[in-house]
Amino acid sequence: MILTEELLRRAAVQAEINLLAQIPQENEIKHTFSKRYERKMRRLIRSQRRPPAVNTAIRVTKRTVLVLAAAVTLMLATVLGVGAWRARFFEMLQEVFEKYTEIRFEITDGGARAVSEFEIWIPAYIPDGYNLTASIEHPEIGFIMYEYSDAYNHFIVYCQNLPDAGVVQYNTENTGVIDVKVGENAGHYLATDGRDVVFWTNDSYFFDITTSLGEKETLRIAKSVTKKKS
Amino acid sequence: MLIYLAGIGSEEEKSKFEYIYESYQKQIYYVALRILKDSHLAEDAVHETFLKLIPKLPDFKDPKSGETRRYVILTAESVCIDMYRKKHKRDVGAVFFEDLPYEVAAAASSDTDEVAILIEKLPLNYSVIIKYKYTFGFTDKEIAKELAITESNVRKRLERARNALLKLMEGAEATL
Repeated sequence: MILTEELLRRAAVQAEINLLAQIPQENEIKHTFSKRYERKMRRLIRSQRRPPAVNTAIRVTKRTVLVLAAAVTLMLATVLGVGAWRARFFEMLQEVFEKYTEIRFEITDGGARAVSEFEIWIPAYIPDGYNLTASIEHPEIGFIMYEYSDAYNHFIVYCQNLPDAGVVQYNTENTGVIDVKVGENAGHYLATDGRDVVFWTNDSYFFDITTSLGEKETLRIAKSVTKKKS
Repeated sequence: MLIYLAGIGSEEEKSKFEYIYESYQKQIYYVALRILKDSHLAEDAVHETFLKLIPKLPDFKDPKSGETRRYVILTAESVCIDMYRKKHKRDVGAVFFEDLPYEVAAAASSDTDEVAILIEKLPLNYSVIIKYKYTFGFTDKEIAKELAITESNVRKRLERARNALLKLMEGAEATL
């Protein structure tokens, strides 16, 4: 027998048919997906709700990957501890896994703020030499991001999010999360992959700042975040 | 689930996604479990498969068609290969699993059937690339995009797949 392209094509189709015939119909497969899977799928589907500009920015700006922290090894995750604290409109849960920390938001009885009420907060202090190089403002979905860079391609990424029962993850492999105060609000600092991250909430929003400036300077920027004057 | 679909592209894409999600989620899991043999990994593979499928929604002409089902399952298989590689830190070569993930028919009644059976016996990454090439008619460039590898790697892998198939054919003929 000679293996011609035509024979290969027919055989490949037949192989596919043989395979598909072995897969039961959807309603015949008895499997209940885990909560972790359901949560991941909800997050995936929600990400499709972002305007394309936001998704593109998230894809192409590797720096923001840390901020939005998409790349983690979930399959090796082991829950090490759970801490929770309550804000006026939402509950923020921190789960510490082996290789990352997951921040999950759950809307409490007070309900989410209406999107029309979204108020933009910005850092009043940015170190000398840094200029605004990119900005994404989507108050309609509760997402703000500003990126500042200097001449040496160092960067500061600031994000403000309206928690909407979503999830943010930080790579915390080989590092720990330290409790800090950002003004009157409880916040957290972590150093990972040469980057310094401070994240915190106030009564209504979740904020995070990523820099390569060290804890003190990153915290200084965080503390300067104030409501933007209209 | 429906409330989360509110933001996915057009109404048409939303409807396609809804159909694919509800019709294939467990089938993808079934395939992934047979390949990866780990429930957690298999669920991760379902998630990864949907990640790969969402940008393709505009290309699905009819989500209810057999072609869509074939493409969904093939995508799931390629995702599983990728996950298997990452887990075992393998970048190149054939991906052999402990057991073949599917049942293979014992007897063939035609040349086509015989070669089909041999394709099913190939390492999964070889059979997957053959299916992309010969059942979907993808170009090397399109396969490279699907599998996130270079075009030259696609050509190499296709050649290896063909050679592996030829060896299997020689072996099959020798036993006659």
